[in-house]
Amino acid sequence: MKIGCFVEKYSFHTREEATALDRFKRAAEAKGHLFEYIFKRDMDRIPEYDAVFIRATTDPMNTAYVVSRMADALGKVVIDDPHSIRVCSSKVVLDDLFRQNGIPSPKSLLFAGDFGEENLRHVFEYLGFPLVLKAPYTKFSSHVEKAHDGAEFRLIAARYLKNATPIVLQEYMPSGFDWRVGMLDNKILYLCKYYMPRGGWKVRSLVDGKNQWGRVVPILRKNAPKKLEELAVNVSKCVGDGLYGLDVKEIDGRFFCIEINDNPSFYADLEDGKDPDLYEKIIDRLTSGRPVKPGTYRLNEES
Amino acid sequence: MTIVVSEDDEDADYSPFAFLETTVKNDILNVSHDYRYQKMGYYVSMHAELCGCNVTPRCSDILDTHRNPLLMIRASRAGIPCLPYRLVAGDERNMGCPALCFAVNPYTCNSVTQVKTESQLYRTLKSLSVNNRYPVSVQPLVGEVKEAVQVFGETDVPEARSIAKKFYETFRIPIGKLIVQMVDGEAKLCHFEPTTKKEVDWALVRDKVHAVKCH
Repeated sequence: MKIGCFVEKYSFHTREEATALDRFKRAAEAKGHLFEYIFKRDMDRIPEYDAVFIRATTDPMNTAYVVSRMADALGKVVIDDPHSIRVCSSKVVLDDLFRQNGIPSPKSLLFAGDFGEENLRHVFEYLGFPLVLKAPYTKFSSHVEKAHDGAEFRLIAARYLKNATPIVLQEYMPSGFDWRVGMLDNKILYLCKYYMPRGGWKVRSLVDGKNQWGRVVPILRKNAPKKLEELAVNVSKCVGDGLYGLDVKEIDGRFFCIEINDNPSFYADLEDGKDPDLYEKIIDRLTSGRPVKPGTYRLNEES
Repeated sequence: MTIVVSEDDEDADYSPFAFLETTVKNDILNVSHDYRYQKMGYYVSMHAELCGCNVTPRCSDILDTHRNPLLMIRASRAGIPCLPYRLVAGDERNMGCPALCFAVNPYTCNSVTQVKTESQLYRTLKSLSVNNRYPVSVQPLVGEVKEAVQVFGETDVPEARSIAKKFYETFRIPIGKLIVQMVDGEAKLCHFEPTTKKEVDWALVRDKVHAVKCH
């Protein structure tokens, strides 16, 4: 079969990401498939491929969404499918999804810019300080900030509201690491611990004026705590049976879903560190002929 | 029963933000002057879909209409007269002028730019593509460009009436601005954009909403 892998130049910026892409290519070729990178300039060639794998930022306003929607409309197997992108790309939508499905997650509120005294008192009493502000389009912990008091809250909120309304406010849950659970077909594909860098509170934090990443420690998927696995399966079933990366916090033996990402990142020897068969499994899914099926919260599609 | 969510208080059962806090299971009519992704108009439809409601407009239709190539593909299939488009990525030459350019990037709104010369075209492409980060949709500029605000398929621009009607039948977006070109006396669809609040005839919107509610 012929697989088109949609990439952008930045998909090759780090050696680890480029190596992971090469491992996808080798896995496909080892199974007798053709695996070609396609760029923006090749979008007209999407009809030539049997399946499309997207390795670029998939927000609905980005080119990758157009690629996904085109491939889906043409009946190709596409990872990520447009439905999953629409659900996962906005933190406001995810917040809604978690509420509707009773998914354990940090206490949260939507904020549309009501800076009135009464509303703010309610927000601060409910979430406490520090509280976390998230722009809906956050990726890799960008546009996620902590406010320690009302003045700081007003400044950050006003900045985020310039580009999107509403934004998400969450209680702060301190932890040394986030679980990253890779899911495919509603099963665990890989498992990692994403640690916060020393002196930071997010997986990518500003420490001493520099953006720093924490360590990534791969864990054998078969060693996933039972409760973590149950949560991950439940959450992914809400979205669909595609490829997802869940961020989960563990606090005193309880698990809280922070977000579910479509298009999770792959860096050589990190996500695949303990479960190197993940490349083969994704290629098998792409060449299975089975389109990604929307989950329990099926959004209206073009009939 | 249809529940109306609108920023126009007079006829709304819910304001957009209040609606996000509810769990309803009805048919929802979402009336907004701006349905762009990350804006309140979009989230109302998304919330309705997550609640399992039938909603007008649907999120997939919203996104398709706001991305020029997807709009063009679906509009042509629906029999709406369209002009051909080309997605330009990178430093291409000899694309032909004059042309009409539209951004396919997440930031630019009201991007419609008419260019007459090659040098103008390159400058426009550079700007609308955010230095070649995003493709730009380019169409031939072959007629007079007109903007038509459509409200539930109606517009006060006579030449665009038939397109506005078909557009609403196809995409069910209650309010928005159609960009058309007049070619040999016929209007052809080029693009779709959100309106500003003051561009909308809210009296007409209220009439339409009443009609939907009474029905």
